[in-house]
Amino acid sequence: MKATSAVDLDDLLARCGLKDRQAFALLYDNTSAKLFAVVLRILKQQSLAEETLQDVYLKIWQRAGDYRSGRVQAMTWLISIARNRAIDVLRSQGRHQAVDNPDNLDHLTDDAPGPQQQAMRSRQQEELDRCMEQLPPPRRQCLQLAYCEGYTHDELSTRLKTPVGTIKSWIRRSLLAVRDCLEALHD
Amino acid sequence: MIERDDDWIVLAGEYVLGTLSAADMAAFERQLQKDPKLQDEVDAWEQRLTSLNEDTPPVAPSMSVWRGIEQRINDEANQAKPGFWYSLALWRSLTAAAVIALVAVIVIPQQPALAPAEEALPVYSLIMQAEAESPEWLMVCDWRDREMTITRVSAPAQADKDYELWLIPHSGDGPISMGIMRGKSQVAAIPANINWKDTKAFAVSLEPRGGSPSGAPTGPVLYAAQPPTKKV
Repeated sequence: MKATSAVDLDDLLARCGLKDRQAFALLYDNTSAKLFAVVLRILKQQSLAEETLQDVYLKIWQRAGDYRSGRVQAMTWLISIARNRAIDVLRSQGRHQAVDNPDNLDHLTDDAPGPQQQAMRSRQQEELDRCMEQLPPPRRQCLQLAYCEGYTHDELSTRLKTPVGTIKSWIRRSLLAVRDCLEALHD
Repeated sequence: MIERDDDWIVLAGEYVLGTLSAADMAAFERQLQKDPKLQDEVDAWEQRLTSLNEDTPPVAPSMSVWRGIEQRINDEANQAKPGFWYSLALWRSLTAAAVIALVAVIVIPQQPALAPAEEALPVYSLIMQAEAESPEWLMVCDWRDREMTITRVSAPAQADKDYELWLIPHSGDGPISMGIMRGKSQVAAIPANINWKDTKAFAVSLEPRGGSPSGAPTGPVLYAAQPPTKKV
């Protein structure tokens, strides 16, 4: 895999906004494996995820001119397009996450990164990790399952054997706790 | 006040998480349109939570994905300006003598080419000629603006007669007059009841001065042309 840091994604997106096909090919080379992983993690099926990835890049091509560097990082912007599209597809297909088979989700409960990954962690990620760790494990898991795999309130309720009302209140309180924690780290 | 701000912050967070119901999401998006500051909250959440992706190891998609994307971008580009490309294909085959007249015509399809891609109405040009050598009339049919522009390239002027343009529908109702053609170039509105798919051919007949007295062609049909059967 090519290192994403080797190219300037802001610059590539700006050129894509001017309909520069070469820049778009370069953007694809440098970001598709990451975006595909994000989409695949939500949709779980290779062919559906590949079809969705095409939609994602078509949207990126169409909307590159709207991207404003400085609002969010380029990779964040790209990931948000990929996640939103994948979640739309998931919902429109009426598919549900495999709530009955927690074995599928083992990788989530064992989220400890390997040593190499640990060394490469960005400061931003370390801060989020610290704040996530302050949440009780089931609440942390709620945010992870919703964000990374597109779980709905109902699916979380089944998966975590917890009433929907409780799930909703966990999410609400967890989000505020994470935000307060991140802001405190920056004070 | 603080309570209300927190509500919006949490909603923005849930919007990014993807846990809002369809109705709540639609309501949030309406609010997002009205309140640009709310977008700041959404962006802040995207940025805060994006690190959750860092533990997802990259997975290379298969090669066919990129080919599919390229294909779709090409299709989109072509669909946005079918008339333009179709015209280009025709123009390549034209003689140098006709080029000056054609340059005047190129202006017409460019404006509709900016229309949204989903609009599939065609814009095409047609050449009418009696002899194979030189084009005598050039027509541009713009079904988006429902206008036809017809330009006399080398058809001879007629002293005491008028050329009349006809649209022949598939439905068999007989030719519909699009008006008489005097001068170098003119624009005719396409009648509202005519559909582009229903258009079988265009024809030009030579009529008494002022046009056909009967509402159907009375003189000889000098030229005819058929619209393209599929968009290029």
